[in-house]
Amino acid sequence: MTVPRPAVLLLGLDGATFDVLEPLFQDGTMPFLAGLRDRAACGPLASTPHPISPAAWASAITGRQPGHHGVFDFVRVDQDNSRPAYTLVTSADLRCASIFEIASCHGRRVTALNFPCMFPPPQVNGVVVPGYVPWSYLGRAVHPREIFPRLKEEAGLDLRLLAVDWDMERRAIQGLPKDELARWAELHIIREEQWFRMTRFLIERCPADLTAVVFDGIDRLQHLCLHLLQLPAEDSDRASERARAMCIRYFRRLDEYLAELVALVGPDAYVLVVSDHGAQRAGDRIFYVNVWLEQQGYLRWADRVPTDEAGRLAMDGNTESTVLFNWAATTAAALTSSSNAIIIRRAERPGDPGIPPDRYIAFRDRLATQLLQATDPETGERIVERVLVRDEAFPGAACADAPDLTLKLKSPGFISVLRADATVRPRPAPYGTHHPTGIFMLAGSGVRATRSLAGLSVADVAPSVLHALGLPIPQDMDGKPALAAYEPSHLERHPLRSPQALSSVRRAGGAGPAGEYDPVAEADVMDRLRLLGYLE
Amino acid sequence: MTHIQYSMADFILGILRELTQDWTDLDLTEDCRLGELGLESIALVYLIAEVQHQYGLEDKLIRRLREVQADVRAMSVGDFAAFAAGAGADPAQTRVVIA
Repeated sequence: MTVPRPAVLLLGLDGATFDVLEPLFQDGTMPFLAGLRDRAACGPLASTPHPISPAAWASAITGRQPGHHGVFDFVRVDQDNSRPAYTLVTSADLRCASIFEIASCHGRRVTALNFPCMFPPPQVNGVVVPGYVPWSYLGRAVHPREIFPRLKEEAGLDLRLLAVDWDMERRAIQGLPKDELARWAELHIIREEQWFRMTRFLIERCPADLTAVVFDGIDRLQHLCLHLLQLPAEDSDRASERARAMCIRYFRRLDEYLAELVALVGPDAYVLVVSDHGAQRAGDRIFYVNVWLEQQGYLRWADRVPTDEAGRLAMDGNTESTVLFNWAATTAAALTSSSNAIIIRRAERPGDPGIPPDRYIAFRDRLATQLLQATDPETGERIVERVLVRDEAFPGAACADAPDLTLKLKSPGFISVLRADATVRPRPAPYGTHHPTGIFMLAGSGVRATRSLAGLSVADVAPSVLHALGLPIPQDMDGKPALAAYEPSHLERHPLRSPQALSSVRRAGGAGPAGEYDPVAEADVMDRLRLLGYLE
Repeated sequence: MTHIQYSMADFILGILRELTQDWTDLDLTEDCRLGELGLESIALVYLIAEVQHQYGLEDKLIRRLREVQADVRAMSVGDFAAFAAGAGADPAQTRVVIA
C-alpha cells in the first residue's frame, strides 16, 4: 500500500549565494525567502570541483559527482577525431539516473523545468521542459509532446521570451556596455515570469509529487551586475543606478514568484531552495592561457588567427575554438572558457600527433607544475592557485571524459581561450564569476530552523529530495540526505529507508540499475525500470 | 499498436514541419535548405543531436559533418538526410510507434 506523502518542491536558484541574498533579506527586497530561511534548515552548499552549472545541476539531480555522471561543461570534448572537437552536452551524456527518473520509476509523478542535460527529455511519468534549448526547438524538447500546445495556449506562454536567447547570451558573456545592463536585467525578469507561469500552470493543472524548476536569472545578472549589487555600489552614474534598480526589481519579483509557488504546493509540502554554485567578483586580470601554452611550446596557433584586444573570453557565434589551433603542432590547449580546462592531445596510435600513453603522466605533471609557477608579467603574481588533475578531481566511470587539467585562478574568473599580445591582460569592465559555495534551504514538517547545516555538497540535493519523497536512495549515490535538517523525533518516525540495492548508473545503451528492491513492489518497479530503459 | 517505418528524410521533414508550423506556410520538401527555415543556428545543433539520438548514431553524424567541414545551413533537407544515413543510420531500425 502506498502511504500518501507530502509533495516536494525543489526551487533551483542558479548562482544564488547568501552573500548577495542576505542584504536583500535585510532590506526587505525578498521578504518571503527571508521568512523561509528563518523557518528552514540552511547552510552553504559546496559545488562541484569546478563550479559550473551543467556539472553542478547534474550532480544535484543525480546525487553523483561529475566523475560518475559524466557532465563537466556545457560541451563534451571529443578527442577521437582527426582533430579535437566538441559538441553540446545532451541527456545522453548524463550517465546516471536523475531523481526525476528514479521517482518516476517508483510511480511518483514529476515535473522538471529548466534543468540542463535534459534534452532529449527522459520519458518520465510527468513533464520535462529542458533548459538551454532555443525557443525554435522547444516544441521537440518537451515531454510529453502533448503538453506543449497546452503550455502555449492554456498557460499563454511566449516561448521566445522563455527560452535562452543564445545570441544575447554570447554577447553578454563578453560583457555589455553600462547602458545595456538595465535591459539585461529586465530581460531576465521577463524570462523568469514565463518559467514561473509555466510552473504555476503545471502545479495547478498537472500536480506532481516532485516539482522542480531552475530560475537562472540570478547567475546571469551577477555575471554583469554583481558589482552593482554589492554595497556600497561601485558605480553611481545614471546607467548603473538604473541597472541596479532593475536588478533589485528582479529579486523582488523572484521573491513573489517563490512565495506563490510555495503557497500553491500547500503547507504540508517539503520545500528545498538550492543553488548550483555561488558568485563572487572576478579579478581584474584575464589569463589568456593559450597564449601562455604557446610561449611554453605546447601550442601553435593556426594561420591568421587574430589577436584579441577587447578582453574577450571566447569566440563569437557558433564557431568552435578548435579552429584556432594548428593541431599538428599542438599538444595542449584550452577549448572553452567556461571549463577553465586544458586538454592534452593524446596519440592513440604510434605516429599520431599528441602525447603517447607512456609519456602522458610525466607530460601532464610537468605542465601542471609549470602552470603553478606561471606569473603575471605585469604584477609578478602567480596566476594559477591550483591545478586539478583529472584522476584526482573527477574519479569515477566517466573520468576519462574529464578535462586533463582544470585551473583554479588566484584572481577568480574564467580563462580566455583567445589569442592576445600578452598572457594576462586587464579586464575591461567589472565582472562576476562563480564561487564554489552555493546555498541550501530545506523547510517542511519535522525540519528544525537552523542556519548552521554544515558539510553539505551539491550531490546531497538528490538524496535529500528522495528522502523527503519517502523513497529509498540508490546505494551508489555520492551524496547523503541532509538528515541534520530534521528534528530527531521526526527521524524516529520517518527513518531513512534502507539504501536501495539499485544502482543509479545507466548501462551502456541506456540500461542501468539492477538489484533487489522492496519485495512487495519489486515486480512493478522492475517493469517501470524496463520501460524507462534501466533494465534489459 | 502499429509500427510504421519512416525514411530518414521523412523523419527529418516531420521534425522540421513540427518546428516551423507556427511561423511558415512554406511547403517543406527535401529541396528546402536548412538555413532558410527561420530556425536559429543553434537549433540545427539540437536537430543533429536528436537525429543522432533517435538513430543510435552516438557522435557519428556531427563527426562526419565536421570532417567534411559541411555548412549545415546551406544543406538541403534531402542532402542532410542522406548525410545522416551515410553516417551509419539504418532507417529500418527506427520505427515510430502509434498507439
